Order: sequence, then C-alpha cells, then structure tokens
Amino acid sequence: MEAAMTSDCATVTDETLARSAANGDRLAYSALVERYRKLAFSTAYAMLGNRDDAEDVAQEAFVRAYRALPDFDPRRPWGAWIMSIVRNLCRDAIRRRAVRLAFATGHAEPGSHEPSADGHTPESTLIAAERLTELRRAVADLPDHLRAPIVLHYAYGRTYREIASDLGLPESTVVGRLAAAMRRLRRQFAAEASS
Amino acid sequence: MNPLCPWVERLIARSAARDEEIRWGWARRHMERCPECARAAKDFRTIRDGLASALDAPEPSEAFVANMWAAIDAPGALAGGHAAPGRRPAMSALGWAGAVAVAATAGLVVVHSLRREPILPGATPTREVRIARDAGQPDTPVNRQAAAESPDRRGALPRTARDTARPGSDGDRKASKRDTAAERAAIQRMLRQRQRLASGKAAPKTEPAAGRPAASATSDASDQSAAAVSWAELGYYYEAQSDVSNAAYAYRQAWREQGGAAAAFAAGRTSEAAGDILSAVECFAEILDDANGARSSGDGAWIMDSRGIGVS
Repeated sequence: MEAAMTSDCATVTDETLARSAANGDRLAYSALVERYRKLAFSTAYAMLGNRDDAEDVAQEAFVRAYRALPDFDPRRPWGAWIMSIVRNLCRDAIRRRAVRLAFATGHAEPGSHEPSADGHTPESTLIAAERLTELRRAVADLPDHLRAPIVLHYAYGRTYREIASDLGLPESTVVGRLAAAMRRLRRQFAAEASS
Repeated sequence: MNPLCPWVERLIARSAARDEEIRWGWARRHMERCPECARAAKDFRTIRDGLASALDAPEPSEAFVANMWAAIDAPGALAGGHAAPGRRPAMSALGWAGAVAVAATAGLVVVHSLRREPILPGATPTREVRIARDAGQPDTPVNRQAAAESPDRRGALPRTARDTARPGSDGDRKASKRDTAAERAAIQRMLRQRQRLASGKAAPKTEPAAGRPAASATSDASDQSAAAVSWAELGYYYEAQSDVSNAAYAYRQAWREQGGAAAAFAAGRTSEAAGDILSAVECFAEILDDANGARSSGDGAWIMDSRGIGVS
C-alpha cells in the first residue's frame, strides 16, 4: 500500500506534495524528503565538511520545513525553499563554530575510494596515497566558501549550474570560486614541496 | 618571470575548474614557451584528478527519515520552528553583548529619526519653512540675492565648516552645530531684509529703460528679490543638510509657484531621494511635457548651475 502510494508520488510535483503534507499527509512529506534528502545532505556536507553535522543540519532543515509547511507558498519551488533552509542552517552552524572538520583529521569516510577489482584506480598511478591525504587536508583548510563548490563538484559530481542552484550563487561565481580554490591548493602544495 | 605568467596561471586555473583545456591561443602559445606555466598546467591537472579521487561523497544514513519523524514527533521539539532540542547551544556572553549593542544602536537610530520630522505635503512643516512661509511667498526666481552678492551661488547660504571638516570627527560635529545656528541666523537675516523691502524701504521694481544697460536693470530686480528666501533657496538649504524630505517639499513649492524645468527637476530629484516616487514621477513628467511643448510654465528660462540649482 505504502509502496504503491510512494510510486504514485513519483509523478506528483513537489508543490502538490507540499500542499498535501501541509494538510497532514505524512506520506507525501516522506516522498518529498526522499527526493531531497541526498541533495540537502550533500550540500550540508560540502558546506560543513563533517558527515554527522551535515546529517543533523539536513534533518533539522526537513523538520523546520515540516513545521513551516502551513506558511509555504505553493507558487514557489519547494526545492529552492528547502535548500535555502539548509544553507541558512549551515551558515548558522559555521557561525556557532560547532562544526568539527572531519577533513582535518585526514581520515576518509568509510566506504569511499575502495580500490577497484584490479587493485588500483587510475588516479592512484598518478598520485600516491599520501598525496591524496595531503590533498584532503588541504581541501579541509580551504575557507568554507571555496571548499563547498570543490566538494560538490569533485565529490558529488554536481555541475556548475547545479552547484549554483544548491548554494544560491551565480554560475560564474561558482566557476570563479572553483578556480580560486584550485590556485590556493596549488600554492599550498608548492609551499609544502619547498619546505 | 614573464609578466604574462600570472594571467596565464589564472586562465589555466579557470580552465581546470571548468574541466576543459585552455582555449586562448595566445595563452597556449605562451605555455609552450614558458616552462613555469606548463608546470602550472600540469599541477592543476594533477590537483583536478586528485580531487576527484581524494574527496569523499558520503550519503545520508538509512535512518535519516526515521530520525526526522522522531524529531518531528518529539514532544515540545522545535516548537515555533526553532532548532532541535540540545542542538543549539545557549547564547554566549559575547552574543548577549552583541545583541545589547545592536539594540542600543537601533534605539539611537529610531530616536534620531523621530527628531527629524519630514515635511510631506499636508504635514506640519518645520520651523524654518514656517518662518519663510509666514513671511510671504517668494515671488522671484532662485538665489538672486546670492547671485548679486557673490558669483558663487553657494555664498547665498553660509559656507559651512562641515565642508572642510573631516566627516565624523569631533570638530566636524561641533562645527555642524555652529553652522546650523549660523544658517538659521542667515535665513532670518534674509527674511528681515525681505520685510524691510516689503515695507517700502527698497527701491521699487522698474522695467529697464530704453538705453539703460540691461545688467543694471537686472541688478535692480535682483536687489528687490534678493531679500526673499525663496522656496528653492530653502530647498537647497535642506538639501545641503541632507534633509531630502524637507528639500523635496521646498522644491515642490518652488515648482508650483514658479514652474520651470529646473525646479521640477530639483523637486523630482529630491522626492526620489526621499522615497516619494509618485511625486518624483509627477515632477519628471512635467519636464517631459515642457520638452514636448505641451505645457510651458515659469516666467523665465531656467538653467542649471553646477549644483543642480535652477537659476534664471
């Protein structure tokens, strides 16, 4: 029954689901959350750099959105609305300095970058494992506004347009920040190499 | 290092950020000649490839939705749309101090704004405007007195020390208080002059006689009208004080009495600055009407001086 309703929800617009959820339809809201939880989480992760904090913030955003559904204007896109809540909560979290950067520890998140079946990835031939750790640490040291597009683009494969939409920025700003981050990473590596 | 190198490095970084090869021919040719830039391109490629491999892409946990519903259903959680219980730490002492400072600043701004009552059409004008209005409506173009006294029309109003003092300094604030008093005194002095003229002490206005130099006739007319504080003069006075609401009111009065594109423009400009867009549009529409010849008002041809004040 629930599965059937969820499959029905797949063809319904976000705004219709939001209207139903505002009328107390929990299933509709679950469908909305399912649509946006990965996006909300990845954006929060890119901005905060910590998996636990990202999950908390994404969750909190959906809880807030649920409570504010009666005030939601269905003429506005629900996706943009929930993402703006996510961004605001992330900024709040950064301001409170309650965020620990997992990147700084240099530990990869579990389940990522496992070697392939043949025992190595193409990148591993180019960059040694320690260089990857250094690179991860260097990304962690980037300012928040430069780190977020890097993580969204290179870790989650989001396009510039999508990143611009996720972060609420113009596309040209996203490209500029990516370029600035690359230059900073290069300088950092050059400094490390010379020291 | 070649002076082009920093530019080429930026272009390479931007191209790397876009996951594309550098597309500018001159930069590519430079890279072929410059080993440093070639190395930069290689570095960026390495970083780009490394980033795709080094960065993690974790996903939300399986319990994400269940935890969310638990947070929603938790009794008293997030009442009023606030953060989940236990997630938001209490406001620090620094936060409270900041909040108090912001509240105090906002209070000062409100008190300051209440002290300056803008004059809108139909509202009670301030003392200076009442003085000018009670003394009789001026019937002359703007600033003839100033033109008669000094080639610099700014001389019509006392030059303020604010013009020379550093903004924000103590000296500036003290000078500002002194200057306001001096300007009020100057306005009252001009009003007294006008009253003397009205009581017949001044020479009557005469038409230029045949053979008489036009400049002399103009001078007489100026002498008579100089004593009046025109609405335009008051407008300029208020504008110099950054009081655009009062300035807009005074300029509008000047425009109604004397017409003319310059008065309409000054009224429109200050109305716009004061946020009274409807009045501004009305004034600017008047200018366009005049330009189209649909309507002609004013008894003289108005031109703008360097400060945007109409003179005839």
